[in-house]
Amino acid sequence: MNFDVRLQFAMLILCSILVFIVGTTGLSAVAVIAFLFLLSQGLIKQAFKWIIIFFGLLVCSVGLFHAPWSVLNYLNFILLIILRFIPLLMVAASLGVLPTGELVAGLKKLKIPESILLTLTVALRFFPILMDEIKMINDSAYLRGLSVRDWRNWKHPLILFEHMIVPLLMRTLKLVDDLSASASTRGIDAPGEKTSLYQIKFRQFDVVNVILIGLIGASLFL
Amino acid sequence: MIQSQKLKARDYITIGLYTLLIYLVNAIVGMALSPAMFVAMPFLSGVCLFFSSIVYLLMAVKVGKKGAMLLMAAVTGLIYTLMGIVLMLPYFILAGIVGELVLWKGDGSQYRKIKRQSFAYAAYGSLFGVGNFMAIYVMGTGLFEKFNYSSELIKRMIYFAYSPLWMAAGLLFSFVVTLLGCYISSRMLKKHFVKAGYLANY
Amino acid sequence: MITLNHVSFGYQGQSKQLKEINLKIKEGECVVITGSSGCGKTTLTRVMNGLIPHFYEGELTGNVAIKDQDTRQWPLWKIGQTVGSVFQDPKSQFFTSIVRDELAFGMGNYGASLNEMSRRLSGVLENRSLRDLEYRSLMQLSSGQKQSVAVAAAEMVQPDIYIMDEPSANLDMKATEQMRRMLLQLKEQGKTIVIAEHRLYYLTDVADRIVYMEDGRIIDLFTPEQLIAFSDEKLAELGLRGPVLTHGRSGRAGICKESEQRLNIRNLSVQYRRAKQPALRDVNLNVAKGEVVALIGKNGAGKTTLARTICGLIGEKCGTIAFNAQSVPRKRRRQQCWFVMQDTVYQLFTDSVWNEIMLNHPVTAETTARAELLLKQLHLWAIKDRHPASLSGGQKQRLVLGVGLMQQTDLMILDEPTSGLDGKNLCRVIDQIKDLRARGCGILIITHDHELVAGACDRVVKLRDGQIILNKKTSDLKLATLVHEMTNY
Repeated sequence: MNFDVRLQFAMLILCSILVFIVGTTGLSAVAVIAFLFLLSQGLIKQAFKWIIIFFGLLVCSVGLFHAPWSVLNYLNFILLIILRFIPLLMVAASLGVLPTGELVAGLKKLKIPESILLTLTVALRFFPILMDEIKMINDSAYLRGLSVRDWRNWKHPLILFEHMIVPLLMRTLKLVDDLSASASTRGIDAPGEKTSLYQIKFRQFDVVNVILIGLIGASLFL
Repeated sequence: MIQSQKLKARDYITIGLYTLLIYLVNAIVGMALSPAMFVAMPFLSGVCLFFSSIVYLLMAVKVGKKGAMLLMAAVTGLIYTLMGIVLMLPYFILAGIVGELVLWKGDGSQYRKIKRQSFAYAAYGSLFGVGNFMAIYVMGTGLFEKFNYSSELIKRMIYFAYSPLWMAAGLLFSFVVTLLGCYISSRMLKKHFVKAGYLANY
Repeated sequence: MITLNHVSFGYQGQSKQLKEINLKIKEGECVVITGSSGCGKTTLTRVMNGLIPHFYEGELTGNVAIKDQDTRQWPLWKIGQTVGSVFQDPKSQFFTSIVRDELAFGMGNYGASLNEMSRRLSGVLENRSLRDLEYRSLMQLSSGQKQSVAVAAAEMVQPDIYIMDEPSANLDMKATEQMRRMLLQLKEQGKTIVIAEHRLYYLTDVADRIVYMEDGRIIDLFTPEQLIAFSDEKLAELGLRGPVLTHGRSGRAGICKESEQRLNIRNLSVQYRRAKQPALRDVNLNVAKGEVVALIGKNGAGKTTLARTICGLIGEKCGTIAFNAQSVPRKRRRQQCWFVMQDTVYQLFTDSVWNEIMLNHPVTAETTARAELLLKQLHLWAIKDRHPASLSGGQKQRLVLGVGLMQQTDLMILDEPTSGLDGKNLCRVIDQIKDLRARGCGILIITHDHELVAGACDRVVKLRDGQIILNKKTSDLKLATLVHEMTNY
């Protein structure tokens, strides 16, 4: 069970602002609320993974706080920035597990234009496919000694890059053509409002999300 | 046949796929360069765009219409949003609009010109770079105030971050490097895609 | 239902792909279009589903009418409500990420109501036994399941006509059988079906008529009965694949008698990280010099894992892999074997045939002479300056083979070298394999193609759940037994 996509976005936006203005205590509170946010949607594994990472890094950063050398100081600076991003990644993780259809239906309710949604759908749809293609090309490059795994190839980064990107682009040209042809025969250019299997509306369960949003707002005063 | 200037389903699909690919190339190059991340921040995204320029140029001449650049920028922003980085979205859209403005003047054929598209991508790129860098530093400074953090190194960094000279240098660097990337990419496109018959000669 | 009158078509800037096509397809009829690669059958399907002239640009003359309406006057999206299409590559015909979204995609485009959509969705899910897969990611489905989803997605819009372009190209024999049953069901519902296809055996009881094309023209029309009655010589002359599973090319004449071993695998086990079960368990396999071994089994049985382990793309958990009786560690294995992938696009990196074959080889008199000889033997010499991406599928495949031969490898692994090939090109690949064995390579072929196994392989090795469950000489197997082994896992 997941929350209304619109509420999830509200949560995400609120979080993005908050994490940069609250102090460490506030940030920990935000992380804990994000943890509850994932937990209440049944994303138990993700919730625990992230919260452990968060507090682990927090402990490291506190340990580094009084470090005498500036190099470590600098490291700590990076660590602190990473720490700020973790609650955001947590909230976004629940958007990541939504079926594209539901995500897009939600964005549509937020009045995002159809053209952007269509393009975004394709981008999301191709993510696993492109990762697959990159792996295939990497493998065949390895068989010919052209891959990134051979350190000698790094002497000519541009050639290395050419060997990776050209077959990939050749493949994508065909993918785009095929997918467009298939989509065209299935009415993608049809005029009029498109409909979806997903109905985006506020349900009782979403009250939990509203409470969490309230709590997150309250963490500003910590 | 005169090509219509309105984007069609095929264009949306092309833009969607290549936007993702540009994002992936940037992410992978960025990852490889991450050790230098915070020191040379304003310069890094220039390097990322140096590599992704071939993808952009291929997309741009394939679509060859108004709006492709802006759509790419908006969707990139949305991808970042879905990963949790919402605040970059308006900035990407701004960079996209600037890119579109570079392409604005002309009779419509300019959208298929590699040279013009290179300048547009470089303009987009320079903003893209400085944006990243600003965001990080704005966050960074916020943090220091919270923590009363002080260290010589970090003070110096903040000083640089707000020095207009440094920012201009970052902007210029991104612009030049992206443009250089486009030049090399256009030769690569000629070598492979024009020769294989996938693109018209230019 | 569909009427074509003097139809000719050429893609922009290319010669005519279709010449003077006249064809009338009645309601409820199932017509199969066949002929060798490049004969124009795919183009013909595109004319019938409106992609030509609306999507692919070019010059179309003559009249194409669907339900007595000229397709030129009909927008493509509207044609889509009457004509459902299924394509050959499932990877690039899906638009969403999970099964139910994909099924709803078409109806959503036409603005159907939520009620109507869910009603039809549950009907189609039931009918195509996809209920268990409703929420599954499309990426995780097998090719057979993907094609079921593709057909189901077309059904959702309830078109009267189905146009399919090589729907079985990526399917194994079991999934092909499933496809046959789906087609029969559609036919029972009175749908009109047009299929462009190389594999004919599964269509003989579905098809009413078979259209034979050559060089953009319809040369002949025959019934399935006539097709089945064709002699092997006649089939070879037409360049068609065998229409029946009970006889055809069978039992290779020459059985390998070499004792010199190219590849020895001893007690090989492979386990992926995070996997509970090993992907390969205690595999023992020999390939002799000049021997051709077919690797069969269901998707996920471990065929590809085995091939990738042999090349060193995956590390073994235990066991040894030896080339020419010498055990070779993982990192050096790629120098001694060569892997020709199903999709050769991934394996070509440079800007000309010549550069491709010379890549990684120093330019010396010896290497250039060898490369020249190889290209001539592979009939690629005349096109040595062309870009590899502009070659035909067969030429690309030969080029990739050439790259391996240039490395003087001992073992060639071919992954589905005949998927989507017509009878004539199948014979070419078989000849190519004969040539490889004459060179003394050991050859391992991953395949679902019974005609290739029967026509070129000395031995059949079948995998199930990472173990070898059958290892027999092809000459000891009757064709019917072989087909049985390849259809039932």
